[in-house]
Amino acid sequence: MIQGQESQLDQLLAERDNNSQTIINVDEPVIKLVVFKLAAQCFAFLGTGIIEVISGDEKVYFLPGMPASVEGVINVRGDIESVISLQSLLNLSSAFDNNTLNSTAVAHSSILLGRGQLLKGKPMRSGLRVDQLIDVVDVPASDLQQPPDALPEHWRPFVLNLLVFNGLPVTVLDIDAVFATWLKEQD
Amino acid sequence: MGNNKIKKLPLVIFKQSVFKQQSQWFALEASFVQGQGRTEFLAADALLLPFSQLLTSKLIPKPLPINNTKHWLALAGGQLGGVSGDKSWLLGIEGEAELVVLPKEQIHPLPPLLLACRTCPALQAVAWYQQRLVSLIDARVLLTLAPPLLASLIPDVNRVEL
Repeated sequence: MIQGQESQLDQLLAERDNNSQTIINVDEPVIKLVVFKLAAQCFAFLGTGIIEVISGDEKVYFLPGMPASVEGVINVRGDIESVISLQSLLNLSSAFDNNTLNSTAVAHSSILLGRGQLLKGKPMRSGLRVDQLIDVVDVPASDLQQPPDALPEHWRPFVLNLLVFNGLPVTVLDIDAVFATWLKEQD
Repeated sequence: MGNNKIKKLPLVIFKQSVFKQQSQWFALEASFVQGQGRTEFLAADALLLPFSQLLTSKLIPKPLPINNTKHWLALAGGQLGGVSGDKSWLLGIEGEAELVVLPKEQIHPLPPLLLACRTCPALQAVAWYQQRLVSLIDARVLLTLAPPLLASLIPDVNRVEL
């Protein structure tokens, strides 16, 4: 090889170098989602609406004088939090139908501690019983799709988006609308 | 009332069956309770309203069975208003009530969601006592709920003979 002449390896390395320089670092916005299963369907809340995930076998105390969709209250580090179910709101059946809280279903379940808008000056918050917590993930905002026109009528008030996560269709719910609609249903 | 902050609250606590659920613990602020006794020593014409019946806001036309009501509590101001004056009524409960004093840290307001959806308007707060949940009942609201229910027990509340 003649000294000073560019070798093929030099060319190859230069090409690779150029290629790496052409990579554009796109800082796509991501959205944190808490993905869960309820009655064999997948749903999610925005991460900003969920304060904490509590084990499903946490003791729930029955509180009389409440609607049937209030499971009871739990003690979270000395504070009282309600636990509600969303099945009737979403027109779903679940592992917890007919108050049959069997131990296997409870062990697999979780309580999502959600926080919504203010109600009478205080943030609306409650535990939400779900059949199974699937994941807490960051997804690119572009993965979220607008809900289709064919969305069931009763879901429209509180569905924000749809997405496909690990091959599963996931319905993203608006926690403020969920609380507001749930409360309206109790009237 | 003054500026002294309340650190403890005396409560009259009692156990009561609620529908199909196992017994629950309830409490009334002690200052609203004037006395207690056993139903077996009551006069035959005494007006006794079971507490379980007041737990629901919906007025039940036919009173619930009171077989389990063994004790009564007299609430301050528990009179039937009307022409014939101050005939009083008693709150029927299943077991003997007990006076306890709870520190304020053990007493919690109802979370806003529950406050907004409660079916029993007398449910005011909750408390922890001996690792049990106690529902705190507002006696003043019970007093407003009772007269319509008592009217179903007697022909005319306003014509009760003393």
